[in-house]
Amino acid sequence: MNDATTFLLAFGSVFAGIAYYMVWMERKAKALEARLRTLAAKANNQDAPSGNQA
Amino acid sequence: MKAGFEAKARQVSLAAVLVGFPVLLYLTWFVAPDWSYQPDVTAPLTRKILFFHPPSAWASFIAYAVVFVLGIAYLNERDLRHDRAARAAAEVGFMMNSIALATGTLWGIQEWAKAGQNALATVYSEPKVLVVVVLWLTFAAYLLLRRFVDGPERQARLAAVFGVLGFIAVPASFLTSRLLTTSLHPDIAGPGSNPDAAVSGDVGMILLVGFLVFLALFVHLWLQRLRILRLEDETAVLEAQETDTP
Repeated sequence: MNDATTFLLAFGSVFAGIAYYMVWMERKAKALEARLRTLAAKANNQDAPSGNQA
Repeated sequence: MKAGFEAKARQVSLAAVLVGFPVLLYLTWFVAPDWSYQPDVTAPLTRKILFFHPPSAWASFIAYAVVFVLGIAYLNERDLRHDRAARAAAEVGFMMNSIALATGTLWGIQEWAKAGQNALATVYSEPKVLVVVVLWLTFAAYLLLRRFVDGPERQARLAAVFGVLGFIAVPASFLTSRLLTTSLHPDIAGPGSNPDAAVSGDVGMILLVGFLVFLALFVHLWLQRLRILRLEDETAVLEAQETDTP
């Protein structure tokens, strides 16, 4: 491998890797927050007394 | 750590990363010396890895130091929050350690290997590289242990011991190339650095910028990973409640 190829490989993989990891983490956090909101809403609905049951 | 402060720190560190990396690239391309005119430099372009390789290695050492401190804190207090923070730091430290190892390998292949030598064998017979490989393998085992050991307390206890013991390789890596005169790895900064390899002027300034950028990256990724681990725990609790509810 020559100098230029090594340089491009090193820089490309470092930046692509870091960018991928950052985007993956942000997406994962957003997905988990959405899931948590859904679960919390379900739990609240189950806890709340129903007006139709008398 | 308060959630509001943590979110703020995450945003500030992200801003520092988004500003810092373009600045670092600019400095690397336009301010760093042009080594192509120096006859003793065999790979002038690859030498620019200098501005990413040591900063990522130093940031990984800081991450492992965080794992070490939090491991001791966990063993003392048995608080699973310390374990969660240590796990997040270990994952990010391992990623940065991998960057340092990969860039260092590419650099070493270009700079150290002589004609007729096996380039990879030359790089991986260097004592400092071997110590860093041991460090990398230790934390790879630390992360695997997280997957294969059952029970949060047992997992946390084992991981804390592993993290504390694994950290020993950090000072060992610092000392190896300083104590062994046969070492090919240059020591560019700190006590005991090689006089002919010690950095100064623009190179030193760019290295400092690189270190600060990688430090900001570590803080951001650590807090982000911590946020994910906390969300996973909270989701698991609610999912368990949902399953239990008839």
